[in-house]
Amino acid sequence: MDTQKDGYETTEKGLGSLLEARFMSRRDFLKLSGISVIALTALNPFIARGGAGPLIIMEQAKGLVISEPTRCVGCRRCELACTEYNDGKAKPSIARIKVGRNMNFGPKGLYASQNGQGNWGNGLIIQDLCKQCPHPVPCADACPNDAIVVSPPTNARVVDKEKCIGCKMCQKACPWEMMVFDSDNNKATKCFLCKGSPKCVEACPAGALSYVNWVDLTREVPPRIAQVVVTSPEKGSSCNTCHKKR
Amino acid sequence: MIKYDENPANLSETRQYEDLSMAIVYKIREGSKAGRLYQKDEIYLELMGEDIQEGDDERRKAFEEALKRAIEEHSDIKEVPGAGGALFYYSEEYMGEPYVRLLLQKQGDPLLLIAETVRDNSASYPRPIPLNMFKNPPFDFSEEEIIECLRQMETKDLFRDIARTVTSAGTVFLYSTSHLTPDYASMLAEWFDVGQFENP
Amino acid sequence: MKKYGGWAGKVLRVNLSDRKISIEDTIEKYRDFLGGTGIGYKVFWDEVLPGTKPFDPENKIVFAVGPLAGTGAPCNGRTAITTLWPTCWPKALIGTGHMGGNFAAELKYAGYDAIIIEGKANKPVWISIVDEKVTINDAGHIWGQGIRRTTIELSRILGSEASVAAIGQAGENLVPMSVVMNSYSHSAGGVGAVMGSKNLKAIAVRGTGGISIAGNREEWERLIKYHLSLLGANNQHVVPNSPQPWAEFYDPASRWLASKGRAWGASSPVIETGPCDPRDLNRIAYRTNNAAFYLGEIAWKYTVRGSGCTGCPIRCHTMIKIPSAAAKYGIPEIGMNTCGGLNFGRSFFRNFPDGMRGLTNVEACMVGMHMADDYGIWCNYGQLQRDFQKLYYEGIIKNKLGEKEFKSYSWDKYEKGDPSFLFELLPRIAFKEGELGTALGLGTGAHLERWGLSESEWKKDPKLNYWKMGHPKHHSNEEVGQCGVIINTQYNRDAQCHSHTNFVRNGLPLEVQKRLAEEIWGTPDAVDGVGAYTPMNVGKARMAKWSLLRKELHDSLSLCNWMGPWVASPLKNRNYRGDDTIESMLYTLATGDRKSREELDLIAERIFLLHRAITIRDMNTKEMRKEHDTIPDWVFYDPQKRPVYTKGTIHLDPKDMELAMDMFYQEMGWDRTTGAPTYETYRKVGLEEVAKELKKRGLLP
Repeated sequence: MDTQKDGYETTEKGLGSLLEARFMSRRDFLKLSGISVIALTALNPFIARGGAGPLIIMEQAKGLVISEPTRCVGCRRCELACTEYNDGKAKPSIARIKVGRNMNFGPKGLYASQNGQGNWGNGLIIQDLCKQCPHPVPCADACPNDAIVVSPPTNARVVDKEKCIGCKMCQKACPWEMMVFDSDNNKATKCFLCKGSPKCVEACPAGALSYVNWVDLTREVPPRIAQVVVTSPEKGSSCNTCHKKR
Repeated sequence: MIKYDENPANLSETRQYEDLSMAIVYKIREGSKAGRLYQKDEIYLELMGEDIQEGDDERRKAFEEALKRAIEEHSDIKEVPGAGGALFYYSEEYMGEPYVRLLLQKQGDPLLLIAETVRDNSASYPRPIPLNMFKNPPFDFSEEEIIECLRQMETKDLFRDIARTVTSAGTVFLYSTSHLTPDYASMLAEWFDVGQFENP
Repeated sequence: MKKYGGWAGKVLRVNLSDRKISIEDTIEKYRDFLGGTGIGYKVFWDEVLPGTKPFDPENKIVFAVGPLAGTGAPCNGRTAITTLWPTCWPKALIGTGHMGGNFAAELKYAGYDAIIIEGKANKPVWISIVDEKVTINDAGHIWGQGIRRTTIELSRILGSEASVAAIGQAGENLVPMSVVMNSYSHSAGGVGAVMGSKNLKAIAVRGTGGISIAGNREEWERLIKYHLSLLGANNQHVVPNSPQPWAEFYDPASRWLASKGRAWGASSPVIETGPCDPRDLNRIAYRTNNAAFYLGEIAWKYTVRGSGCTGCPIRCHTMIKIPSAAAKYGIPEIGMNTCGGLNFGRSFFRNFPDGMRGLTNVEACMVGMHMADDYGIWCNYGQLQRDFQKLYYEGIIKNKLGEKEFKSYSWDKYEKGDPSFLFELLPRIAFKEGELGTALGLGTGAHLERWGLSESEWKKDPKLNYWKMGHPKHHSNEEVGQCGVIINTQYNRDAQCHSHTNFVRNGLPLEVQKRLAEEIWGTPDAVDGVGAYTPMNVGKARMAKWSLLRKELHDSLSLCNWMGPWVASPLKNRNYRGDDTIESMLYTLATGDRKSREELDLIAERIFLLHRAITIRDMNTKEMRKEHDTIPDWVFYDPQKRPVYTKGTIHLDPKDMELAMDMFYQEMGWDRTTGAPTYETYRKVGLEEVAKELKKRGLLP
């Protein structure tokens, strides 16, 4: 029988050939056309400008996780991959992709009853995903401590744990309820696109998730809650830099 | 499984191939994944948009060279002759030899395809197989075609070992008497068709 | 104390008599028994006295999961429920039921590895568990309601993410053939009436916490992907059911149904399963379609999608949409289930107007599952329906029922295969109405006794699948020869073991199976072809022991024994090898408690032996070989009177089976004459105290 170590080696062997073939195939013959890689390391979204407060325009995200709900089989392996591989614990309540909350009765919950979605309705399970919002980024704008920042190379909007003070203002600001709060460390967290290899996408046994070029879905996906626009006064003043009052 | 080695922001819908040889490799691999053996002409037609007979000499020559390189430089790309001598291409990474054999047999004699498949199953697993199996890919026979094949087989000595057994649910199974006794074949057919569902 | 991952760390004890709710430390008290059935058996050995009856307040119910439940380990969704089994006849003994769904994970996220229910409430109650907050609540408004309504009502209180394990009217009415059910379609048989006897309608759980993984997270991720790479389709069938480009082998009997041209036809738009190359881990969920497996090609066009337990990529529950059933029978047009639940309705019928693979067959499934899963009726692995057919077609029902009651059923509808017959029959089982409904709800043993029928007649009929003690066989000599028979002698209900059957049905050619068998059990002779049996040998005894231990290991760790073990794989480049250290790797990384395969197998043996010890203690005899480990006559009978080992026969030789039991007891280190474990055997697995107690009672060989 294989020992544990051998087991891992055989994983590589077991999966290896096809992984490699795919990997190679991309590099081999998918010539990238048009877009070049932009170096973003030096980019700081909060560049002071003219003393009128920080500029709150964030660099656009590069990637986005999207879903195809008809493919979802409700196993929640995406939520588990998100938290186990990133946080070292199985904790769907802090998963940055949300399936469980729509699984039984759909996004409208019990108020749609058996006429709704989910396992108890028409079977359709909706995945809630971070839109990596374009400006204005509700969660980032709501943060009194500027803890939600752009992180290259994906330009995902991420929570800087050092800066987060656990006030939950961001949770109120996201219309899609995609900000989660980890009671274990009293910090907010959100989808950070796993440095460009989203664990949820890799984990889906039904291929319901894809990682794609960023597109603006903020106008496509209906909000889950009425949006509370929360902007700190300092940031509010910087809005005026661009949006001049008449 | 999906490996994101690049930032997707850099991936574009427009794909260009480094050269013709890579395009051929890609086409053969995709064909194999989907269970398709490619003939040279078909690859040429799909990649060059014209019939190989009509294509101009220079393009044809470039294609032949690219194909040769595809085989030399990619160990998974295989060339195999079919029944009529025509060459077929597949990627052994995505299509195994047993499937290739079925596809080639299919292009030859359908009676032999059925008989050989039945014999294989009776010999190695061992088991009889339901007639309906031949409606699935890669066989893709219609009910009428299967019946016609069986009718023809009855008249030929070569297929004397191919026998049938009918389960209590009325399903017809085929087996080879060279490998299975009628008793055993009928018990196995009953198990596959009825018994296993009573023991879920 | 060392902090462990995997386990939630707490066991909840709820006494319904005095409404006392207390917490125990899982690690301190139960770590040596892992979780699941291990915790269940431990509680029953320590706390429930012999002579207790299933519906006594002194009986307990242990809902328990293991360190892998709720994690990303594949196939971890099953909750083990241990209690004195009400359909075990003539004397109720310990048994376990297993339900999938979301309950196991939700319980862990709420912070618990197990719930021990004891006592009896003085009026109907339900238990609410929201993280640390546990309350016993009045169930007046839901008592008398079906499982579906109960779930909706309690989800309104706990929120739509809650998991509700509830009983239906059958359980309330103390019908022994009743289930507890969660997550729409996931049930455990036999437990419903025990909950009913305690006036416990439901346990609703909502958890927002997490389970920590002790090991390095990159290593955990790699291990999970490794495990996923070894998975097949449902029941670990590792070859596809028709030729696929990637596949070297195929097997028309395999549950790996995915193929080009097969599609979830009721999805909008339609989704093709495609060939599902095993190396593509993003397509595992398309491999299995149990509706199509059981109901035939016709089911594809009605398939909405796969469904199943939290964390399981296999999706053995298939969601189907049958508008015609909704229109004709006034039931929901969508339903989902697997196996016994899916087949519940149709299995009563011997024929349908459009044949056994037509639409009426599918409609009968829909009617059956919507009714049974709401009333909470159990099928006892199909024994209910097999008994019903025999009793009807042999005229016994007509004889036993008064004329008035007999005529109150539309037998013409039944004979024609009209699913609306189920509307006459099933409510009467759930509500104990009339003689037939009441008798069917008792389970085979008590039913036969009530009607003055002989159990030995049932043991003679090869079509009935009846084994012993009120229960049927569960994967015996119809496919696994002597090894299957041995396994079926060991429990107090149907054996529910899949370690052996999932290997022999995996679809690989016999030659490959034999090669793998040699690696696992030391000899290729451990496996035979189905219906091509050979005399007993030590490999078969080893395989039987191994299979039983893996079952208990899975039931304690919370890995699905319906899906495992993973000792064969679909991977050609591994020579179709699986890995039987996968359990110990998962356990070690999840908990941080390093255990080798051998060490974990020893714990599994401890758990299995504790089940044996409780059975011996409660039967108050050590004569297990004679009085417990019995084999029905039909195993030794061939209708065509062919000699044993003739290819095409599945019957066995009584003398050879005696030898088989000898060899099995020897492998287990049990006394061969009595079939009882010895003092030394108990001691070796860490159960010396158990041995001492049994010695005191004169129950050691």
